[in-house]
Amino acid sequence: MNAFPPAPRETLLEIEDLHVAYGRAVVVHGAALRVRAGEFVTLLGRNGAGKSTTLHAMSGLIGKRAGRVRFAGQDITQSSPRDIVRAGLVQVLEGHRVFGPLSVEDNLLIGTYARTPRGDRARLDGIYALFPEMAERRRQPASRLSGGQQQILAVAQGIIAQPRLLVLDEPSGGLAPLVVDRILDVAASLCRDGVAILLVEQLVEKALARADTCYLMETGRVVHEAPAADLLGSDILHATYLGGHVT
Amino acid sequence: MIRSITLALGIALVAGLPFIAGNLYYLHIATMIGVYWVLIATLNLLVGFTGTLSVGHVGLLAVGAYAFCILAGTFGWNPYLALLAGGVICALLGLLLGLPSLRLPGFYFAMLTLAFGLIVSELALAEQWLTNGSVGLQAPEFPAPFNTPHGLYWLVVGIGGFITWMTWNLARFMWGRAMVALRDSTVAAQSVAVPIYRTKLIVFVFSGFSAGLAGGLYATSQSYITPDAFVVNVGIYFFVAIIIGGRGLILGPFVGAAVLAALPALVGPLAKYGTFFYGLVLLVVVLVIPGGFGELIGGLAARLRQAPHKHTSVVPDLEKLRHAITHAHDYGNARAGVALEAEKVTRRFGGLVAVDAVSLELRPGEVHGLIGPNGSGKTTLLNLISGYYSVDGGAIRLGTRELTGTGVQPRARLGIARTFQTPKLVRALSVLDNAMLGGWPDVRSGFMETAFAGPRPRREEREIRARARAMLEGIGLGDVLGRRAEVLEHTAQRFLEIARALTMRPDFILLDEPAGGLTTAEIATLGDIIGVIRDAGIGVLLVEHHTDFVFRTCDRVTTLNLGRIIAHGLPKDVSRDPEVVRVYLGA
Repeated sequence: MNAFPPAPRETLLEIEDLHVAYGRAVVVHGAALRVRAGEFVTLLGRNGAGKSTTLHAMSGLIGKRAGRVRFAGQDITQSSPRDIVRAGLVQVLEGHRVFGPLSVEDNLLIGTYARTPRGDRARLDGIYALFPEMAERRRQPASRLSGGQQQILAVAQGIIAQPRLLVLDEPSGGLAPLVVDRILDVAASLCRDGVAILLVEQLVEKALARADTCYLMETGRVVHEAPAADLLGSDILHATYLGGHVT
Repeated sequence: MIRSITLALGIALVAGLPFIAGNLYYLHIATMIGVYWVLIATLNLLVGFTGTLSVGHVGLLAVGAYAFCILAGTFGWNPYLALLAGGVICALLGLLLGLPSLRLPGFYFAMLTLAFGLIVSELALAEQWLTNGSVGLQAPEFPAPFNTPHGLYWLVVGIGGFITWMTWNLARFMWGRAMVALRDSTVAAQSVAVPIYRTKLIVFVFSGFSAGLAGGLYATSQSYITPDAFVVNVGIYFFVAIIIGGRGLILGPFVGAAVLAALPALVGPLAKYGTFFYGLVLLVVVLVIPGGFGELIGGLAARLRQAPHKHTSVVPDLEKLRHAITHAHDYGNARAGVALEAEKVTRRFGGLVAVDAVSLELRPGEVHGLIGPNGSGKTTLLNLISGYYSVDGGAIRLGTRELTGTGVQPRARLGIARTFQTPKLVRALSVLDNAMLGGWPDVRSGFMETAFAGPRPRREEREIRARARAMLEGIGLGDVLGRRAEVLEHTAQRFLEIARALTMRPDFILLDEPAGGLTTAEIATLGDIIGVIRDAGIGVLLVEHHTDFVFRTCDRVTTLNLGRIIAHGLPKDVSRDPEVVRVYLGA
């Protein structure tokens, strides 16, 4: 992906031995992964493997049973979601979560609150250039957008926050093929500008084509880590998705 | 097991109470709990099950009490007849109140019932010729053996037990699922043909009837009634009892009613804090156990029963599914064999034309793909066909039958099923119960027939349960029948929605992005399932962005852009259409 071999980079995010449970059901046991500054990482695995749960626990949206999360040199294991976002770790949740009654523009401005207490209108133009379909509908309530357009808005809201690490949970959900490529290319270009990306995606080939590093998750554990390029079409990838132990 | 023990203990307590209670005061308190319970049991159906908030039931209690005193006292009717008449009057009042207001959003309905409660107590004060104003009325006694404190206790226990039995029946058969569905997901309830307004109205009328009965019993157990007995605080007491007892559980609110009535009466110092005490209990319960005592007990019981959560992938049994679909169709009338047609339908939102003169014909036994850029009108078209939106122009037809002006439920009854972009499940219900909701269009049993657990609701329950179970086993959810829908993984939720739709025995099924969030392997599985559905003769409309999947699965494909059709035909032609490639697929 990069023209030059990447210089050794500092670790931005580090998750160690993360355990998460819903009631008595432990769904993540001992997940560990690392994202370096400016790195594009993808976390893959079957549905139910615990990917989204890992992300939610990391961002402080749900409780952790055990484990440690460090971000940009600080321990954020016990931090509130608000402090985590302020530190520059911004997560775009799956399933086009937007603020329905608010206008498209207000939804975007909410994204800027992470860095600027009173919002920053100056950043709107840049986002509208990236997503012209949002500019056309800036005054409309987000609930009037189609499902796919809401998904674009959710991603735009994450980007406008100017994160150091942008976490995308299935950004392709409900998007037309052309738009999927556009969104993932935007992520890749952000990455070239120094923003680290952590991507969960079911469009495995598209994710691997853009990522530097890939982690594979299975039944609540990270089972494999490899350069993304090595994984395309590999047996281990195939096994992870088709039931693991059969092949 | 735990349920039987609790039930046995409860019955023993209720039956033994007159003998344990040393003095008549305790017996009187127990009688009052029973009287309130007659009202709360059915109010709980309204508040806890359908999620409709009424704070004005104290008004109905007052009307029932006055009706009893006036009819049995002033006019000298037979007390039993007067009691029943009070119930009927309150049921009619419920109908009059509900008819114009139950269509309103819940908040307005709650305000209206509050106003009703206030009006009744003012009227009782003002209309002296009838109510004797603030002096009040003497309440007649029931004839022997119910004219003693012990006798009255047994009468109340009898009526309360009977009402409890009725609510229990309503909750465990299809009506119970329908009520919970319209509380948790109105959209999902509509999609399986549950009539939202009518169901709420029926439940409200029923709760009005039992509030009227409770009023008569209240009057006679107090022997004298005055308007100040029916202040809004009493209405709040009913409400708090339900919340701390546990909404949506049949016996939970009984615990709430008993605790709230008994504690201030038994523990002297608490009495003077009456309302303050209710408020405090409410606060503590809402903060500490939001589900109430009932759910606390239920949750502990579930913990003992629950199998450990393990990840199960959804592996369909296609042969079983094929059989389940075919068999389900044996149940009712034969398939119509006609096409579902949208003819030049248009839909505007403000200045935006979301769907512009689009025609589409969905034939039985075909898979019809609908693709297009984001915001091109795919979901809007699906909403027009299923009845969630009304058309601004054009027509929707099923064969020669005009559907244009009809709503969602009539279309669901005619065999048009659908799923949603974000799965719409009834969170609080189990997987099996969710799928069984799909059987609602086949339910012929009325509300009262179900309350009395007649043979027809029992038969329908068995039939629909078997059908839903077969569908779930076929689609690969046979191992998680008892799991609550809200804890299901994404893939399982999608497949459960399809199973619910299939339980409706549909002729057509409209799938809105069913492959969203699925892995490649799961998408292949979905393709197999759709194949089985098509082969069974059901027409499938597939809105989807996984284009490989669409072109592989569909017999015909329609492409929308900016609300208009830009290409239509066989997958191989549409996939090569230059315009489709330009606006949608990309090179």
